[in-house]
Amino acid sequence: MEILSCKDLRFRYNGSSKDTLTGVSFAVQPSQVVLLVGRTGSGKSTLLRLLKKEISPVGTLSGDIALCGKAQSELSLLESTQTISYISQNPDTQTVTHKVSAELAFALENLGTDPSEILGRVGEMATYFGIESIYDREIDTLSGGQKQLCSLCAAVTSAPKILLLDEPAAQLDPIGTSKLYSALRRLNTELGTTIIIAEHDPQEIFSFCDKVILLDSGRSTVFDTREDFVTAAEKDPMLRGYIPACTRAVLPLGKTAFTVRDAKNILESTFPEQKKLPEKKEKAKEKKPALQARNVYFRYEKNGRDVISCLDLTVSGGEIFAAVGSNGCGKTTMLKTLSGILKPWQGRIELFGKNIKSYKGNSLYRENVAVMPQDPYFLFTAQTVRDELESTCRAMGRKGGYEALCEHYDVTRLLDMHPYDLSGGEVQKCAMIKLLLTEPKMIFLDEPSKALDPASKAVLGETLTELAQQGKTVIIATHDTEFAAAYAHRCGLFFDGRIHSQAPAAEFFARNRFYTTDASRIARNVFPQAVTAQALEECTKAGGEHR
Amino acid sequence: MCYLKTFDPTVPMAYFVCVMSICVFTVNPYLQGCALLGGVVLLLCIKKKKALRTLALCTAIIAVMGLTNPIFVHRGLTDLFYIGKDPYTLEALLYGLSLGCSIACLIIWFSVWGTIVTQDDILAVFGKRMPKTALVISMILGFIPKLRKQYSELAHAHIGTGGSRRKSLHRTAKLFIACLAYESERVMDISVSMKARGYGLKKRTHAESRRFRKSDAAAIAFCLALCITCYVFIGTEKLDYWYYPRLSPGGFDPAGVGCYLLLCICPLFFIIKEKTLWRYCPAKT
Repeated sequence: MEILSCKDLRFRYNGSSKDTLTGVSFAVQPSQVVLLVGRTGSGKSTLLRLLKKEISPVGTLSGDIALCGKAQSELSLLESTQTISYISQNPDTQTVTHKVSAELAFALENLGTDPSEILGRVGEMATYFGIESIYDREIDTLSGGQKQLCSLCAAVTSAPKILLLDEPAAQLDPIGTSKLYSALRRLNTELGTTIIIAEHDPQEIFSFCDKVILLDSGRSTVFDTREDFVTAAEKDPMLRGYIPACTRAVLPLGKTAFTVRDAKNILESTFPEQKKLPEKKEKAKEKKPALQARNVYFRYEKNGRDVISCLDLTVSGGEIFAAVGSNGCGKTTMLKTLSGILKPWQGRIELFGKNIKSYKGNSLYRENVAVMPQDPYFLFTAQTVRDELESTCRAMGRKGGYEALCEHYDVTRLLDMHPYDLSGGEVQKCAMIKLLLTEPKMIFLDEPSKALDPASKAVLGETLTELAQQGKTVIIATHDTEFAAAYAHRCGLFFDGRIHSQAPAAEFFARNRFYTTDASRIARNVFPQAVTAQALEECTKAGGEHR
Repeated sequence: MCYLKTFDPTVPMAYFVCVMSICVFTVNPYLQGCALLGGVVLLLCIKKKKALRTLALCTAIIAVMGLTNPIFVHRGLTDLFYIGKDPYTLEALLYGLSLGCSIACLIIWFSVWGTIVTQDDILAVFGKRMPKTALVISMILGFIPKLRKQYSELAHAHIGTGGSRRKSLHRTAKLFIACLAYESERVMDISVSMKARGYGLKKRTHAESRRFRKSDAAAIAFCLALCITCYVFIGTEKLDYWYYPRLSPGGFDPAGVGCYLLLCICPLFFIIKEKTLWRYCPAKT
């Protein structure tokens, strides 16, 4: 019997003129893992929330939702809470209390569980997921990955049959993502929990998902197997980004692989081994450095540890440099220090040949440097996007001038909207326009690809390339190795307060063995120069044709 | 300090209320001496070297209060010397010292309280009776650092796009409003997370981290008995003390002062017991 089914589901938000979901139908069998894909704004979050009665969005709903053979309307709120759990993408808004222990007990306390039983069940859950070491910690002190793992444990303490996850790894680094997915895999294989997960980067989930549902403008297309989805996505350029690198790598050979291991084995048995690393490109004519940091140290407290320690970095004009590293390693602090927001206690930073300290007043952030924070919503303090952009223009001493940029980035229709009503991709574009209005020669971006769908990532990447071509310097801090490999000219690993092994992007990822892209892991022995899924696919295609 | 932590949080809370309810309101130097002695010894046992700063501050407060009170208050019959035409009296000096002691006791005992009674202990005590209030307190405790962090991030974003670094009222208000707007958006998501986990569906309970044992009841009874005895002595005016116009000749009742001294230093028994147990513990390496 199906554990969950939706039939001809239509939904329209109150006040909206069009349906968010139109005729969505699918069925899920017990213990299945279902992947929900679709562009930002396609209705994934709406659909997930509709499946859970207590958090159903306000609007007009028609069609049938059935859970465990019962219509959703017949299910009491208590039954629904106990049957389905929900986790959203932002671990900060998932946690309610101030400590991990209190968070894990929260659901059981709400369900009126006997006080003497609660800690036993919480302890069982903490032990099962191996989070005893953080059990007594304050949530505010946890890393993003730990927070999301805590949210997962807190959501499953009531032993739900179905787990709904809305882009749970969107803000996590590869290690945090991997830990989260191994916990999900255990829940599915050991406890038989049904999992429905919306994800932009389905790399990890693809290896164990049973079914894929594609949402496009509110319409659903159900693919009963991963293979069916791959076949359809192969032909559609909009969907290609959802195919994991391991699958894309072997597609030109007419084979299928859903794990790095399988793809690697197929490639290595098909193509001869090539041990040579990509040749070091001859040093191009030395460009004048746009940023030079020497022996920089920064710490937040007098007796604290140095978050930035002995940092040396040189970035040329017109270059895209990406500092990659895990969550919480200090990348954001590094960007803030290099951009002058935070003052180092030792060391020298030169921007365009001039000591950063000699930029007086706001001169550094007007026509020189602009910084995009990790959450672009922070850049908006006005009621509408237009007000915000106008205020930036005023600060720069001119009237208007943002219209041409809005046209270029196709956001004119968003100008009268409240910034918080925009999607992740849209606010990213508007934030970029705000930065460009200050006419910067250097742009710092903190995790710019976070929570973006593949199409939006591509648009962002192209924008950065375009800016670099105009001679602007772009410095990115990211844990998204795929994005860095695809768009950065040079990369470095941020670790222990400084940047290690700086090299051109292809060389950097080809040399790294662990902190690298899936494409590089798959093809390092046969196509060492291919470090992105697209490059690897092209190599396989060319190699296949050659054979 | 582990041994004191082995009690139910109600015990240390009741104990502190008993000690402080007397030392804050009394001007009896014998009782203040007991409170000060007990507080200083406990603070040194708990915080060790870190306690020295607090103690230095307290000494300064007592000295300043003692020395400055006679400058403003000229009551008392024992003139020590004159400042201009005003007498600097011994009684005013001692009364100032007594006031300083009261403030010092408050600082020292709250410092000890802060180490022994944590936020979680308060939540555990209130959580049993008022689970919803406990949740609200827990949420506020989590909300304050988040708000502070958000404000700092917003300020950095503001600077990074050409905004002023100067902390003007206008800038602070603008950022604070933006911060609240941002937080309200987040609160909507938090409410979804709460609803998703069944908040408001049933009568809420609170996880019981520790059962209330007989030893806890005995410890509370002991503290209350000592405290009530002290109140009886205070009520029967046996511990009354005054400074003006002349220092009170009485105010010392061995039983009353003894009870309060015992109350103030009784945690030492557990600290010594813990140290002794640990010293002879076979598990010690």
